[in-house]
Amino acid sequence: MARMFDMPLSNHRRIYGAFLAAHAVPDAINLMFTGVGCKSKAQRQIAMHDRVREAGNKMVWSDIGDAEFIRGPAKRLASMAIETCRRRENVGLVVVTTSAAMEMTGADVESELAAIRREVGCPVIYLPTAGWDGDLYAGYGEATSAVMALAPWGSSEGDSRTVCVSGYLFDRYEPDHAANLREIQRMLGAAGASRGAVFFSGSSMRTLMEAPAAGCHLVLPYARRVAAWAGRETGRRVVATDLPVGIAASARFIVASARLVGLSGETARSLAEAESLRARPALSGARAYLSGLRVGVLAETPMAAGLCSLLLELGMVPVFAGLLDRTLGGKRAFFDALASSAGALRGCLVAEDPSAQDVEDVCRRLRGKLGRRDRGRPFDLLIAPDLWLPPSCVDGVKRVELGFPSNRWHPVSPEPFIGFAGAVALAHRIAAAEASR
Amino acid sequence: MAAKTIGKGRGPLPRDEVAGRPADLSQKCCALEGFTRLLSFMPGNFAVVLHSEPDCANLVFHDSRVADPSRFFCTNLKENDAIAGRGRGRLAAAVREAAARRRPDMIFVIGGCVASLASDDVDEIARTVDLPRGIRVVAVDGGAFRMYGQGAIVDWFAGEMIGAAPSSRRKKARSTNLVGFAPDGGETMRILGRVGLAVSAWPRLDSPQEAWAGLPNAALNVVSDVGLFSRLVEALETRHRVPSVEIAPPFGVEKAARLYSGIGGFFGLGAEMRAAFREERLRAGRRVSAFRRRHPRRKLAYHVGGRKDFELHTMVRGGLAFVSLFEELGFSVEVLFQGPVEEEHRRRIAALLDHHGVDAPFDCLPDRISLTRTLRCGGHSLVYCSDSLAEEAGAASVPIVPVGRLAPGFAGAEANVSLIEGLMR
Repeated sequence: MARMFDMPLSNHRRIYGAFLAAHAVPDAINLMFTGVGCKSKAQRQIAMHDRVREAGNKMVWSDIGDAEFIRGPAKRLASMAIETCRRRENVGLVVVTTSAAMEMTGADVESELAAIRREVGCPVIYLPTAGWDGDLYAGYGEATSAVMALAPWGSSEGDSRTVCVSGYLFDRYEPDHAANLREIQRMLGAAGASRGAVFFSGSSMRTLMEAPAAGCHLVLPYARRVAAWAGRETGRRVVATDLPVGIAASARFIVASARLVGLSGETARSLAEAESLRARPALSGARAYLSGLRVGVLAETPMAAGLCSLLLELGMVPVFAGLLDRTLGGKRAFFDALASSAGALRGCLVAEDPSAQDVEDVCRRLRGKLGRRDRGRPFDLLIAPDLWLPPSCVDGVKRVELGFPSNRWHPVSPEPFIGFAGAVALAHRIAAAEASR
Repeated sequence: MAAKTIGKGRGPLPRDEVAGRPADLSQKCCALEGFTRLLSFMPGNFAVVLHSEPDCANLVFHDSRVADPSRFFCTNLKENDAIAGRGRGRLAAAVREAAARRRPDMIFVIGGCVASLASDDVDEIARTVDLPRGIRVVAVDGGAFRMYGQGAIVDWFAGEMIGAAPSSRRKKARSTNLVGFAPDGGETMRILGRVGLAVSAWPRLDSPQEAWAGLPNAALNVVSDVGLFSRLVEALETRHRVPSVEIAPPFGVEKAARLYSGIGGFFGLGAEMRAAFREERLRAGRRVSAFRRRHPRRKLAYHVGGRKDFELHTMVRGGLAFVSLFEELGFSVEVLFQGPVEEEHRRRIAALLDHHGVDAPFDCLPDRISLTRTLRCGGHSLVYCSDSLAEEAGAASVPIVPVGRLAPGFAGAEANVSLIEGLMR
């Protein structure tokens, strides 16, 4: 846990999560009801991460200055929203977000929203995103709930073999996510199901609003709070599952999906086992020379758990897991997601919401354990987003860039990290990093 | 401040009617955003304390390009802190912690919107914190809906940098500073060296404080835009007795010649200097003339206001520093401003163009997507704009010259011709 005045390594808050959700819906716009500096809390964060789709035109910001503040800032919100939608013509969703300062002004946003809704001809969702607490996953999850609630769930019971997926963290339009979504579709097919709408997946509002065609609903960890709502409000069968990263979690995904569409437990397990068997030969090749290498992982909790599970499957030794979120369950969720593998991580140091200083402290402890061998490196390899880390933590350490932001890693061909195909692709990346000088 | 300007005589710099600051048509920002952006990339032994809720600390760059974000601290205000007036105590504690952990030469204390709404006087708190001797504290009250142009932030920042510079012990008689000029692969130093002149300091916005500390040693200070560096110019002239001259950045053959001649002229070496760059000027001039012959009567859209990057090419001379380069290449330039379209704003733009000596027609675009429509019916061969507008320009099938890609100096003029010809192909 970061100290009182430190900044955590990953400091993105709700406002960015909500923006990310808007970025993941091509015809949505994010109207930021904020001060003038807050624009950079959204679009700038993704500018180098997503090289396929520029996010600058995704965002409209209200530019509240002294004069607007005095005149009544909420008035400007309505005029901006209405004018923007009129000019763009094809807006499918308006996501209104706010900053802490704007909420402190007590501006009457709700009454302006009524005027906006009357005028713009598309759904408008309001997400108060004051940055006192929470994280991007909270903002993304809240946006997921709000958009899902717009679908006409009462219009039909849906097809019992079609599965709607929520909580997919779609943060860029690059080939890694395209490949992930194909792998989810393939895994659902292997489990006897077909893929319905995915919240979010780069699909337009029209496609998302067809979600009720699905008769059941799979919830990934990034939208855990959706699960209770979906069970109550949509009349669908709902199952929450772990993020399918690594062989074990991917097998659990197949079992959960097969059970969701009505297959027996035994059938579900045999389908999962067949999938696992197909992937294992590729991993065993990598295992031969990755085995025993010490690895550090920096990722949000579900991803960190999936990666550590995969590393164990590759015979590697996770020695440090830094959990970069504040709302996805922390250590407890991390070890729960590891299920039966958790025992193998007894020596792994786990830090919640770490700052650079915390990582440095962990690395000092790891070096202390190692003594003089390994020339002072705390680990051989680090899997992490493009985050600045103290040189004492990363000098001489091989790196695999994964997660948000990936400013340097931009796959040119499909390279998933989800599912069985993702496990194999990640094993290739890890092996390539280890082989690099 | 009385910097001499070399170049066209111009009207007064228009002022922003609400804030009273010089008008600036770049995208607006808050001071917290601007200072964190500039300090994120600056090496050196300093710490930064943000007095804000945690979300504002997200404006600090955290990725691997930056120089040690762990120099940044944040009071991480919660709603209760702000309402109950606990922010001041937290700020004092955070400043003390930053001093104890980093042992910095300098601490920047920057307040955000919430701190301002809670009436926390960042300057007063920062001044009264008991700190070890020798730590300079710079307070920036940055938020609460005060909209700054990017140029105003750079002016403020550069003023703080020169404010920390010690007095010169030994002036270098035949040397000049260059402030607000892009790196040029060594051309300026080479040409000045031919007549026995040297560059004393050439700080960039991401240079360490030591690079700014060398400014008082020079005999002359050359700035690309006195409006962008007014505090620095004033400090150099009044505190350090270094005169300043404003000369446009050397984009294009004529502007490059003007820079070198201007510097040579100050030192009484005008004729020698013209001889020193004669060959480079002729060669670059031939390339430009050949381009003009091959591409007559072309129209270029020059887009302003699409970036919030705190980079010189966005800010120097209102972002208009490259207009003359395109005119030199024979383009008929139309300036497109992204921002408000009201008449009041148009008047300010006209005054700003006049101030910068730009005699080109202009239009206002309310947002970025309007660029497509304008280009579709405008008959433009090329658009100079941020590469983030590639989608909008692409929809109109007009190739872009990305902001930040044009090079200065005579060598740059030749490279620019190659670049632009390649794009037009």
